[in-house]
Amino acid sequence: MDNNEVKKLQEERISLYDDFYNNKLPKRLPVDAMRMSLNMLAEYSGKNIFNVQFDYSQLAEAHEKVTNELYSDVSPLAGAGVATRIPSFYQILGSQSFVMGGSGLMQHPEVVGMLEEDYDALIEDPYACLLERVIPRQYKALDSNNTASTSKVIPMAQAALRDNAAAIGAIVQKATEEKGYYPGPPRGSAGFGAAPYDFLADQLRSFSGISKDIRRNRNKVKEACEALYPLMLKYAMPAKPSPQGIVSTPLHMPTFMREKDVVDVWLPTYKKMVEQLAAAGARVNAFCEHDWMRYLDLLTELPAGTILRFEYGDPQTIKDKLGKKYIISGLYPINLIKTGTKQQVIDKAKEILDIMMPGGGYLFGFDKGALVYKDINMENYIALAEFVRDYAVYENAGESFGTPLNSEGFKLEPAPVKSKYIFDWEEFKGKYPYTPEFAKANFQGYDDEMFRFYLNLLV
Amino acid sequence: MVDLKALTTSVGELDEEKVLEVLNEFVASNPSEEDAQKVVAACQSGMSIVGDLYEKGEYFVGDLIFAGELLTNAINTLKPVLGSGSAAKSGTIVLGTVAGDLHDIGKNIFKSMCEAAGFEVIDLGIDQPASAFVEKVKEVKPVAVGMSGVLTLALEAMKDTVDALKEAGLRDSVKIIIGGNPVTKEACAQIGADAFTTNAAEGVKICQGWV
Repeated sequence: MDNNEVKKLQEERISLYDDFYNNKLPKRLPVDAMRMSLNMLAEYSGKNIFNVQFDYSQLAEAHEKVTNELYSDVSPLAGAGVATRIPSFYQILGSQSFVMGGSGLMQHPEVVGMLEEDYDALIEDPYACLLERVIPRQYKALDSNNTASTSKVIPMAQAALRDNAAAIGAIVQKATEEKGYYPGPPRGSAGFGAAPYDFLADQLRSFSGISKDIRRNRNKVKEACEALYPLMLKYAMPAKPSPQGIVSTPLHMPTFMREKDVVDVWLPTYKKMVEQLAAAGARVNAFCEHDWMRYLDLLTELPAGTILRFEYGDPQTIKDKLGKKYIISGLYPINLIKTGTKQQVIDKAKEILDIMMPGGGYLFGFDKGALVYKDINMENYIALAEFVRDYAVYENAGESFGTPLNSEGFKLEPAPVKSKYIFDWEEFKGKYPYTPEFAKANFQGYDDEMFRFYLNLLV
Repeated sequence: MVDLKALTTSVGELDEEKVLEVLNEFVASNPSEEDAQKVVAACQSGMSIVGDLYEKGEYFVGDLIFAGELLTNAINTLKPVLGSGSAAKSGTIVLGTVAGDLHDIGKNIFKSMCEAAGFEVIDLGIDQPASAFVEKVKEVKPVAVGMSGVLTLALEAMKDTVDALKEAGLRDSVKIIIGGNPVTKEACAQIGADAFTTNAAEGVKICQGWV
């Protein structure tokens, strides 16, 4: 392809996404799900899985090969984010939350960062509790009794993250330019977040810990979710929201809980968070992990335009119940790519698309992402991508569908994080009276950066 | 003496406060060891109600975790009156998360439910190589080996472990059960395990069938 053709192709792809996220039926569904993780690329090209994770540039060639074989409207390799779990970063900080197993995969063992007796401190000043108690327990190099070590490793970790993310970014960018892939949503519009209860469960109290607390200290758990809400909202809020930008929130705990606990304790702060993001014009992707069929009614309480990605469940029931108000995604069993014949793989896609496509509002996607190359059969993967491209076409492109983001008209209700560790301009100005007023925004920006750094450690 | 039926019900309802209140009163009454064993059995019966309610979809994984915690608390409360001769065990199970996988929540739930059912469980921990299973099986001659894993790559490690047990001449002396998100009937056959489950309560029943 010459440059003009690439440019034209890219523009077509951009309009597929722009249309879809602005409630206009696109010419066809974007082929968005055919991702290759870093580990998959390493195995696919026969590279050593340990080596590549300390020098991602080794994957450039493999990615180029994949982009020639596998159809996709977006780079198969995604840019680096929190979920990339770059080993150097976690190792420099002595993480016990994210560690590499003998298989070369970064994993998250069950670890406890917050003790039962820390609830009052968390409720009083959650950010301080995270910095003073939780993070030093989960990140051994951030020992609060050894500030010399701490102040040394933080810039090291930041540098490692920057360099590794840049190496991944360079591969993605090159492919995007050469293949005319969708370059992604506007800069600063995407994000990542967690439901306050899930955040409390995950690295703070642990799955086992929260399962005890919800029965023994229900009120404290509730108060902790309320206390964490401003932090979770600030963390998830993109700098420049747009309907195309996605704030991903993998939802961990509800399917392991009793419904009354989900309704009373899990849902309220998450719901408020998603509503506030909608009010700001940011679209949340709620990944309903595991089987949410018993919670479909509950999901209808979330704002219109939210993406609901499902792992298990009945596509028709989901479509009937949620298809008008939300964007549905997921449901295609990734396992079939490995175990099925080419025909079975395609038949399954047809079955799901036939249910989901009429009336719009479905984005083709897998129930879960493949983790290692052995999780898929590459021939089937390639065949599926081409089938979705050719089959998921709209005759009535341009017609409007679904319910736009923030149709309810939620209003922004600021919920600033209050903590002794949040930058205080008045105090600073008192100490340095000659500082001009415009410098306030700069200092707050630096402070936000550190807020993000610390929260990144715990999501 | 304690109302054993009511105690079983309270454990089944996961009513921790009530269970501990009853047990504390019981311990304070200076009971015989024999009575104490009856109380333990009543608690264990309560746990099998928990397992049934889980299978029926009335309890969820969080409840199983809490149930394990509740039972540990109950047994600790009873310890002073249990004496040294503890109850006869149903048998020993060697349990671990296989090589390359660091997940242990499922394994831990299975462990506490097996213990509640009267098994002695030897937990090897996470990311355990085949050799660790082989050594422990040699040493303790268990009724069963439980292998757990969440990642798809755990299936391969499970197969390696079964192969290693075969090579060591130990395969025929134990039953093998695999558990976790990726296990299926097909995987079970390919790995050469005797049983598979993604449901801890069901797994306990399978092991009970082997004693």
